[in-house]
Amino acid sequence: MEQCSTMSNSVRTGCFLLVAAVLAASCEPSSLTEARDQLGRGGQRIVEYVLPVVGDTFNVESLLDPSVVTITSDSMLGITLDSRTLGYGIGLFAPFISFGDSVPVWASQEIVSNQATNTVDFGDLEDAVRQVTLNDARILLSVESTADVEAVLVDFNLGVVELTATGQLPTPLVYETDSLTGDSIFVPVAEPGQNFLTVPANSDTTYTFQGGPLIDRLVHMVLDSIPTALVGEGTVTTNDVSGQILASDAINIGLQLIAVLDFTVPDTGVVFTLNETEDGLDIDTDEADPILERLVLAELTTDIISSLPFGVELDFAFAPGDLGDEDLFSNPDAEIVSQVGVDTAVVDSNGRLVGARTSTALISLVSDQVRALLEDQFTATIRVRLIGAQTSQRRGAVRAGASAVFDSRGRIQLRLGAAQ
Amino acid sequence: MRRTILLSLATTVAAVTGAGLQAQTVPETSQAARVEDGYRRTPTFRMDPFRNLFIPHWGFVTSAAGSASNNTVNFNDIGALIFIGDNSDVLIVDLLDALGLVESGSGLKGNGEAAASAYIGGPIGGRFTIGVTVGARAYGGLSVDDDAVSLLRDGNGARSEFTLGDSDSEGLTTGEIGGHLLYRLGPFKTQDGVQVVVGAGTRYVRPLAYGRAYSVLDNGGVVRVTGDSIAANLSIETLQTTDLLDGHVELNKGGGFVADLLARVEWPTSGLAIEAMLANLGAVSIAQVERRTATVNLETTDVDEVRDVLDTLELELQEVSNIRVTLPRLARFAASAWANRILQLDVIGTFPFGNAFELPSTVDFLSTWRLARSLPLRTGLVFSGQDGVGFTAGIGVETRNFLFEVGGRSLGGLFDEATGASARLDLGVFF
Repeated sequence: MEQCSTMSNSVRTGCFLLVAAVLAASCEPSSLTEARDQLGRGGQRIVEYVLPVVGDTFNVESLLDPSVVTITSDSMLGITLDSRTLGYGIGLFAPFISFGDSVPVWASQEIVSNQATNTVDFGDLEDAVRQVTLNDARILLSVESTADVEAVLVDFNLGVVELTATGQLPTPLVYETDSLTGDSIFVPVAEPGQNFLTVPANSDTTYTFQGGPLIDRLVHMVLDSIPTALVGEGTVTTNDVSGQILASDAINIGLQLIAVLDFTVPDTGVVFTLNETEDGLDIDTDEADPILERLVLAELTTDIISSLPFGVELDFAFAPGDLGDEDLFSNPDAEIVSQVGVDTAVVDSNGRLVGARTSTALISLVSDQVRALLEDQFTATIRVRLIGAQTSQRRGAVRAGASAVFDSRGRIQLRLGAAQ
Repeated sequence: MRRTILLSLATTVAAVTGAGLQAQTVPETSQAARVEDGYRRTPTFRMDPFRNLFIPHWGFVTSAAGSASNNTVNFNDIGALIFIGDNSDVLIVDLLDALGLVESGSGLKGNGEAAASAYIGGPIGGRFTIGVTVGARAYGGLSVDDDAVSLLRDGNGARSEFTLGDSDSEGLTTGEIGGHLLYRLGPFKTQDGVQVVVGAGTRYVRPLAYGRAYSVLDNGGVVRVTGDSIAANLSIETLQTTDLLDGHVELNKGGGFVADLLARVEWPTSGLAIEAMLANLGAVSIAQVERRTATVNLETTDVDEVRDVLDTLELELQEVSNIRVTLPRLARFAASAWANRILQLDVIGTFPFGNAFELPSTVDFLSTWRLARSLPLRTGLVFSGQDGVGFTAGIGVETRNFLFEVGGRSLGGLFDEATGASARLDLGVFF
């Protein structure tokens, strides 16, 4: 080892001579500017780097609470507004019901927003839903009878009633009405073309009723924090001459409300915001400043394949750091990029998408905007404006799996070399 | 300067065309005729195992030499980088600026060699000279394919596919001990006739540390960067002696013998000599070499995934085994003429062959001025395929009993514009 050490020292001597020659030959710059100019002596050049920025898919479903998302039988995306059983024993109204008797019955259920047991929860779409008209809502009634005879619900209608200040049903019941016709908004629980619904003896049958206007009214009232109840009212009778419905029998009605994301948006569109916190490039300020000084061009080009039944306009506001849910459009220090548009969709008369649309959005960023992206984290507020697919067609129905696929690429040109 | 070059070229032609060209006879009383034979063999900065055997006296010589060059940054650039590092941070844009210095199409190349030795030897009888040399030597070479440099230097706006190509870096440090022999024949026919010197020797070379990194895929693998995706299929292999990074070395690392050969023909009184030398012929075995590989097989649309892959990329140990490494061999051809009283001209071509970490080929045009017989001044030009034109200068004290020589050389330019440098120091005493 000692010999080895001697050898190493000898090599070091050679290296020392070489380093001494280098140091003797090199001329130390007098300033950082001069030193950096020296490294840039190769001549000015514009260098372009193109990188994929993000390939992402935005699903409408992701804006909703998974526990309330439902896919309808015709593959539309909806949410379950409420699900519970309304049950009443027939005998509460009469000791027994026999042929020819017609006994009034009613039941109600209070509907509130965002409570675990009784929910109207549109998640991040809540602001959007406030501004639209829901066209399609399904009311699923499961009707179970324990009676040994056939029962008939006659003139049994579902309606929406505003509760009193104390949370009670008003007396008499005041149903919500259509603002144009003044008629009560009802959903008849009846067989097609009839005013009655026959409930077979000892049966459990599910019926589906279309209740768009009723649920639209109910939802808007609930989102506006108006105490609201869904009320069913009508009569029950039996056509069985040989039997009776006893007081101990019951007709249990299971109620499930499904609001399909089938909107008609106003002419001005529907605006709502989303907040995202993302990882930036994590470049120190000392590194970032000279990069930004050399920045010639920064562009973000995004190809978007949209299967949304709406046109979309996006505005971005972003700022360094994790700013949570702060609306950055109100933050004077945030950088704003406006009016990134996605081509409007083509939909049929029911607002259903005819085919996916591809469009390209180009965002040019200035230095200060790029700076925010160089931090370790940045927060972006995305303002989404949904507009009608066509001027004459402002209805859009969201299919299950509707999405917008984003494929973005960044293009940066830096001025390098020469004395900067 | 042009005159010197023309004279040097003429000397080269004379040497190559051989003895048919009659040089001017050097009077016995001239300064040139009284120069020690051994000192007529002009020193260079490259490996020369016969360097001291030509001195016809028993003696002891220690030498140290080093040479390093690259094809990109000059001393001013290095000074600038050091200055920035000392006073600030070397930034991304600094490195991108510096990458612009890599000439398009040539890639980044760098080489270095350093050696130190102690020699003892002398003549036996009138015709033999023997010598024993103990020393250490370090070689290193770096080559980054222009295709690999291009991604950062030129960006991917105009092209999207890149490769590591022939990128390779290799370094070896050795300890060695060797014996060499010269045998003089002649003069033939007359007292002023031609003299022939043949030399041979061998050195036992013991590796001290070794490292290499290179791409193992055909054509260097591929990196494709577009606006839509990033794909990479790369595999890098490293070889290194197990203790390379531990800061110490062990001697039990294999070894091997290498051979050196020389033939020299002189017309002393005509002032002409030509010489051919082959050095470092052989290979050494290196024991306990770790072979590690790192493979990147990636196809993604997410830059973050690239970052994750790079963050977790590790060189995984595959095996520890013995390997054989061919040393950087070189062939040297020289012609010398000392036609007038004080001036000797040399043309020396040095051509490495057979290994990746060899120094580049050079042709030296040297002049030795003996205004005082024992105080030679040396100047010259060097032409290198990698480094362009360089300049050489040196001074010596060459006496019967004492030798001191120091020289320096810039490559690729003069002083701070140079992209390489060489230095040599010899110190000897003779009995």
